[in-house]
Amino acid sequence: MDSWQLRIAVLVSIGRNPVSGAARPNRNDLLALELARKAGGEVTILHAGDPNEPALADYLAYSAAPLETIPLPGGQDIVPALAARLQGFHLILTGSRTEGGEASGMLPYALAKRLGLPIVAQALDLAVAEGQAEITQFLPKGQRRRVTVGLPAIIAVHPMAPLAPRYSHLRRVSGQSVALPAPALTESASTAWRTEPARKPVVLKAGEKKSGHARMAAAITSESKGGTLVTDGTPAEKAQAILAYLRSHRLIEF
Amino acid sequence: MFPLAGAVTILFWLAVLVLIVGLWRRARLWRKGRKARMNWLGLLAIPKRYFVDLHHVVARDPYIARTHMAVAGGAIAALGLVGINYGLLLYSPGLDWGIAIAALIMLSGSAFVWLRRRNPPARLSRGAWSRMPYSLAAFALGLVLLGVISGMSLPVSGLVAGFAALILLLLLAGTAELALGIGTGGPMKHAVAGLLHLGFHPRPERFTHPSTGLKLLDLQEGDFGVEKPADFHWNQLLSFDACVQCGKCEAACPAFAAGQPLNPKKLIQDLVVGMAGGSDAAYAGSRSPGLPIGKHFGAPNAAILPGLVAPETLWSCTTCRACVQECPMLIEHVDAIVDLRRFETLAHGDIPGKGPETLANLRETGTVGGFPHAARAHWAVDLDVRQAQPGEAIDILLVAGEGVFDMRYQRTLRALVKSLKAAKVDFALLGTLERDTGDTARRLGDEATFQTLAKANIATLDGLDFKRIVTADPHVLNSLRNEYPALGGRYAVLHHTTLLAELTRSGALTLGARDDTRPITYHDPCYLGRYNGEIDAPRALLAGMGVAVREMERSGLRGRCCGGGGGAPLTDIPGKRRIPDIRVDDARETGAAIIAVACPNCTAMLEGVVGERPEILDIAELVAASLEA
Repeated sequence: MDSWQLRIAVLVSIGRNPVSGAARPNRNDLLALELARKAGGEVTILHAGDPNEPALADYLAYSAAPLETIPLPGGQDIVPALAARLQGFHLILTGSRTEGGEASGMLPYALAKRLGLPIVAQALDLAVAEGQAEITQFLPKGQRRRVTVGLPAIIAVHPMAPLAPRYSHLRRVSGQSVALPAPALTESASTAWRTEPARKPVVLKAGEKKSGHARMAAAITSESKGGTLVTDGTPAEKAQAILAYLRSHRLIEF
Repeated sequence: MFPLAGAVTILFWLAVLVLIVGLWRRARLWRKGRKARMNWLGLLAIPKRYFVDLHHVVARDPYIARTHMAVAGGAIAALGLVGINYGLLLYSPGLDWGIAIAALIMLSGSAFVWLRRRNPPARLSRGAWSRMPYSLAAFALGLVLLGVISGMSLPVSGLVAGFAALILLLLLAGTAELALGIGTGGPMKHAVAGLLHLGFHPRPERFTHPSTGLKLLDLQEGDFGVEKPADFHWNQLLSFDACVQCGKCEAACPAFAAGQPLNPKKLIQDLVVGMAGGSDAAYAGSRSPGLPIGKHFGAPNAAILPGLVAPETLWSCTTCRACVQECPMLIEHVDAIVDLRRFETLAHGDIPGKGPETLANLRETGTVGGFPHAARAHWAVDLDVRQAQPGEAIDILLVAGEGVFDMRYQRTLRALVKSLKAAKVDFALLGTLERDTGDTARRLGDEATFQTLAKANIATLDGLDFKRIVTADPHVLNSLRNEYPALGGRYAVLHHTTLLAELTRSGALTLGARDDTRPITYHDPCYLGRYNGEIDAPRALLAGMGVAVREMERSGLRGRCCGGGGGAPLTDIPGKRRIPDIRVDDARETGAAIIAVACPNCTAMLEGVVGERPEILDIAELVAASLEA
């Protein structure tokens, strides 16, 4: 391991505070940066976009790694420019999606396709040994899976990765930030996207399974509105009754 | 008689030499610290600072004040006379009698030291300090005998020779304690370091007026706080050496009482260990709750955290200043803690609990809780209150603070508005123009965020036309009044209780008598009482409503903290009890059914106490209710 140095690139984007709209480091990308810090090795932070964005410097505050920016105007396809810079890295870490723009979460896949590299998404933890990366992967319902992948590889970090990025003002002011030479502009990547204000999320509510007559009756009388009162039985039986209710109302699907 | 007298002369000058060498050695340790602005005139102020400022604190415990007067006064008088009579080779029997009398006073004082040390309170350190009554008594007795034997000018005899030997032995023992103290870091170092500390105090302005605001950190100059003992200013290191380990701070500290791992006395001693290098094994006082003794090591150029001071110790502090208020040596514990916090936060970002999230909120939204500014005036939406605008002249600007987002504190603010309207005050809200003052960020050590927020607020305030600021939040008050001037923001800032009391006095507001006869106690917010010395206005208002306040044992300038200051609720270091529980116990002891408060943080902390407890009402709510009566 003496001569071999693990080289990690962390791809970062500019996020938005959901309340104030202030530009800030993307929380998902911060997790990727923190995971890279934990894995050790020589880390480079890479951003494609406006090198003069002040919020970029906040990434310096979260790690001692240098920050490189590929100057690209908005709406440009960033994959070719990133792919060109990412030659020679053993690991490419990204968050799972941006907090603005298309937020499609497709970048790691598009990069993997372009670079011909394996991709492991939903990563929670990472350990590198003997030219391989062992990744703990997020699965639903509390399950986890351990995956091993040969280097180089792209790893997209899950938003619930148990990491605590730490902000240091000292690192922010002493960190180094470099703007790389601007690549030739390609055709704009933004397709026919239509932007509209976010819609209110649908409230998860049990649908009424009563006839119109029954609902009218319920509205004009003070009768109980249905349902069952389960007072007897073991806790397991009671849990079963709740489960049956949730299934019958399609609130859970298993 | 010559042999004894000559020996005393030699001993005296030897002791002076040892003292000077010791002082030089100790001063070399202090000088490892950073340069501080030196004011040599401070040395001239030592007598005033000693006899007025320091004595003012010591006199709160009359027993030890009188004891110390006898011991130190007697010792200094006797030593002065020895210096004249023996140091200058006068050998006058008249002066010998003077020595005997002064030493007798010292001896009687030593007896009282011994009495207190027989069954000492837990706050006192043992170890080397336990031998003090004996070494002091030995020295005093030696001086008494010296004075009497020499004063009587007895002819040389075997008995006198025997006495002479005894005198020399006693004097040697006592002199060793006094002269070696400073060089070896023994208990008597407090005499030299304490006096010098008064002369070179890191906060000299506190001797002319109350001074509690934190010092501005020059971030542009690369000052990020204190990582290692040598990063403290040299006069701060000197101040740590002044500590007499009396434990008054420990007895006053709310975090210590709650069993959180902070003991201010131990912290200061740890910093002394760091300055001198070594371990805390020799420390013989109460420990920081839950932390072992003898396992902490430090050196002048080694990081203080986590090897010397545990991070939890640092983050337990509520910055309530009770320790500073009680310290007879006028040590500034809170400044030291904030200095250490600053480096932890600015260099490592290493803050426990909700600290990092809160600071991110402050950076990104300008609020502690991550709320939208548009919601800042929602609490007053139906009250027909003006929003301050540039170019519109108003009398009073209401700066509400983070409490606007808390539904409980909105009730207080609404009550305040009701009283202001009743008194026909010309006022407007800072409302949506307001940003957090940065108080929490600053106490958590994030000076960068504090300065950003403060500059933004100053720019806003400077664009408005108002005469005075009023706020219901003492933390806002303290920031605006004591900490913004360093950044160029100078405003007349009032607490709402002060304004309401003023309106009552001028007759603009007439308080009704309360028909609710439940007994009331008043809880002083630290940032209003200790930080700003305002303890009378709230009581005057309560008296105006016909309330006889049932004072808690710790009240006024010596009030006990609610646990809500300094970001302590965010870092949330576990202890055995919660600080607000202790405070509510204080209130229960008075039999009060209502705790009157004057701070949103106190309100939240005390209302968070579970089970049966007195009702928590802000003075503003009591005043508004009395208007109806």
